[in-house]
Amino acid sequence: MAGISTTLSAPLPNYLEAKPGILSWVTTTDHKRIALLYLGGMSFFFFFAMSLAVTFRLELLFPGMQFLSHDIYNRLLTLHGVVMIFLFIIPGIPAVFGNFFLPILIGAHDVAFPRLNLLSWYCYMAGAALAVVSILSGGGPDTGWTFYVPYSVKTGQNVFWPILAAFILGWSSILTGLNFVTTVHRLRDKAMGWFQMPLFVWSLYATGWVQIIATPVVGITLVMVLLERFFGIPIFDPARGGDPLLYEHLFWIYSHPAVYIMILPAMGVVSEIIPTFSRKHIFGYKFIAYSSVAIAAIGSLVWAHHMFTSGMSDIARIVFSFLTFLVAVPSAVKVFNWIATMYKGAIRLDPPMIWALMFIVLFSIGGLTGMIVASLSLDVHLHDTSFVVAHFHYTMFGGTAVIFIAALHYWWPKMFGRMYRVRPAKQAVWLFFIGFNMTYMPLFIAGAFGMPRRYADYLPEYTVFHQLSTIGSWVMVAALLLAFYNLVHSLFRGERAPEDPWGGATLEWRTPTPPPVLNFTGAPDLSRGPYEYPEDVAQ
Amino acid sequence: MPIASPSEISREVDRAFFLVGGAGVLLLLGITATMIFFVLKYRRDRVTRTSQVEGHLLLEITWIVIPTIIVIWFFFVGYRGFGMMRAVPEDAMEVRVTGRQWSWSFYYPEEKVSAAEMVVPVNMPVKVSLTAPPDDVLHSFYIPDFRVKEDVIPGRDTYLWFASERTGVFNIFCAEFCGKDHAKMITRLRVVSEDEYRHWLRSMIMKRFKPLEYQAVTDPRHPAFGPEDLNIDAKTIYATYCASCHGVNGDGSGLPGLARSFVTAQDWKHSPKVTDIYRTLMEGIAGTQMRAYPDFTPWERVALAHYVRSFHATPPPADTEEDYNALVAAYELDKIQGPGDRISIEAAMEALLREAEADP
Repeated sequence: MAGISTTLSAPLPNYLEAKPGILSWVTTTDHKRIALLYLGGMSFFFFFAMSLAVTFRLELLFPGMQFLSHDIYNRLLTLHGVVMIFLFIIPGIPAVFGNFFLPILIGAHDVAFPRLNLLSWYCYMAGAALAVVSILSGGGPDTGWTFYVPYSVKTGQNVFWPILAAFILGWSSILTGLNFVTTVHRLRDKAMGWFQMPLFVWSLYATGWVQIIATPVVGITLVMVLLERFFGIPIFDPARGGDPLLYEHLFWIYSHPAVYIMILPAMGVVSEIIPTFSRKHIFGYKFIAYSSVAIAAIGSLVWAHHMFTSGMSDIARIVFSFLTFLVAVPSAVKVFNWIATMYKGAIRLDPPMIWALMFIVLFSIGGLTGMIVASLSLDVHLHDTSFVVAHFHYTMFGGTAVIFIAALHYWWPKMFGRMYRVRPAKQAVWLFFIGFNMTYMPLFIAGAFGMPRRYADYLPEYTVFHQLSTIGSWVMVAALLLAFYNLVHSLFRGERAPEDPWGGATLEWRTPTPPPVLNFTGAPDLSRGPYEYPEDVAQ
Repeated sequence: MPIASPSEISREVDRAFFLVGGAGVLLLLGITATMIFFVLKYRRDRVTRTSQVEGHLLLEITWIVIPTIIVIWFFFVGYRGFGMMRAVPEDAMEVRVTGRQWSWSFYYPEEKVSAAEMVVPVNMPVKVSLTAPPDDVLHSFYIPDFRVKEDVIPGRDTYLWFASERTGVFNIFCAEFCGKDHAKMITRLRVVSEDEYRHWLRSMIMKRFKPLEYQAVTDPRHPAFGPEDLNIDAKTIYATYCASCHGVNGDGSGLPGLARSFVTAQDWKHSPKVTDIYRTLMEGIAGTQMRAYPDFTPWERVALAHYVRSFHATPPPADTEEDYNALVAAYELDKIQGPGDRISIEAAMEALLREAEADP
């Protein structure tokens, strides 16, 4: 790789304009371009999966079946889950913002393995294509995104393609994790110690390890499902002497850590946004950093809390409940430190900050209801009800997806060199807040009253909750459309963004907008720490 | 959560819900209020200086230790209710539940009653034993009002229990996605008074056999006692009670070497006459596994005797007039009233109880 020239008089071409043509994009090894490739794919699948959800929520407006059959409902629900989980939430923040900013934040020119990085994107697209194929060939699977056996082995529906898709997507995830961990170890600027790294980098580092360690388990498990289904090798199917509980264990050994793959990077982004807009040093840096590692570590040992009613031994249920409660502590530590960061700061409520503060509220609701479902006796009642649906939408949508949007608003000017309009961006946040809570809050109540999840139809006593939720989903979609329209609009009509629109302290704000191909025009300036701000606001 | 909780467990779960949930609401309000306060107080256009505080060790320790204590406390709250859920009282009655795509069926092992609905008496602990056929899929048995749920696993046994303090009708849902008609896998639990339960049970016991055309006959010599004329489905009774040992074809194949074959004429402890088989059914055969079936009606015993005789390879010996007279005298068959009340509820319950004791 060519060294960077510090003697150029003309400005370096930025990464968007460096090489034109579609071909240069799909063969690029520039981490920033790969990030944009991911962003394109993910935005599409996010809106695709969202429209599926809006469709089946509409079905739930009244009891009885309106325009969908039970069968179609089940398929839409499965596809919504598979696409959202595997194509958006899991890769989301690391693949887009991690790819784009991890090297910049540690003063590197690219990730450690740029070509592997491109391969990850191709794995992602191949997996995505297979997921789409599964819809076109025979209407899509109807197993739920969890593919529980024996149903997934027995169903006449097409589970081969989505399972293969999930398998290939797993590769994308492993390779990205491997790349990030190596990059942090090997390409970090010599002048930057571990505890001078921005916290977003810490969170990506912890996430990388979880991806490397946990993802192979689900890959192997899915292969076993295929072996059983197509070659009749008895593993999980009790009719052939297999054990369905084994599948549940193997599935959640990956899929629970996966929720930390989803949330940790989001927490990292929050740790960047709040100091920037408070002009304040992050409070409790080491505690936030270590809490990421603690979440990754303890989070790997709590998977069976998805199985409190599964028929596994009572002792196992008790142990896993205890461990699950423990993982609440490092999450709480993060929230307290974020709030404390705002103390005696100078706070500006720009759109990324409002999204981030809303995250704290929504994620806290998700986390606190997490304590409810971590309680053994309560989970026996609430497990597999819409309470759980609401809980994980508060953590995953109100948490990760909200921060995905916050990160878009935070880094958009840097990534594209254009500034979006602030007013509609702010309006979208408030509209979203109303719509989101209207969609999911009623599901908590319905679930506490016993409304099971994954029901295409419901008893009349649950009508009011479903109606509120459905109407809320319309408000929420309107907010999202407004937010994304506003962003896309800026690409064509937005003002040119300055180098540092928010007054941030991390390295990406001290390189041109958009960044040049090798990220910096000279040696990265590490004289200022990632959270160092002057006490005097006027400066 | 419905306020009028119908059981000790559901009250415990609701208490835990309001405790953990209430603490959550307080924490949420605290976090949000602090956040809003800081946003208002430290707005950039209102402050000229910031204070670059980087951390506070004591504060960090405080908000690590206190949440840790709180979550451990909450763990025990959940654990306590869970302990109640898993400790089935010794005096619980059992209902065996089978989940299939997409229906529930119920079996009362003590009374040997199968039913499509679940009916239990009020104030009675009920152990629900759950399973699914090995070639079926996962289900989950969920009664929201009692806050109990447990997965139903093909080829495995799981359980839950509850005791209702009030009568009423409650929903039973399948809570684990099980395919196309998952959302239709809903049925009802009826909790009824003790009397109503017994009445229901009796009607279910009676249903076990073909409905009897009641005939005012008590004398086994009457033509109505003949195997063709009796309106009793002896084959079903045989299949239910006898076939497991004596074999479907009466050859003793269910319990080889121990159960008698009805095909051969050799070694009958009592003879294959109708009256002797009747006696065996009344009293069992001491020293063998053949037990008494005192809760059969006289008509069922006679029908069963005829059916058993039909397995005989050679024509079995006929009963004499004296045999019949002796039987009538021994069991006072001439004093039995019309078949309309061939067995009272109390007698049925007693009989069932005896049966349950004899067959642990």
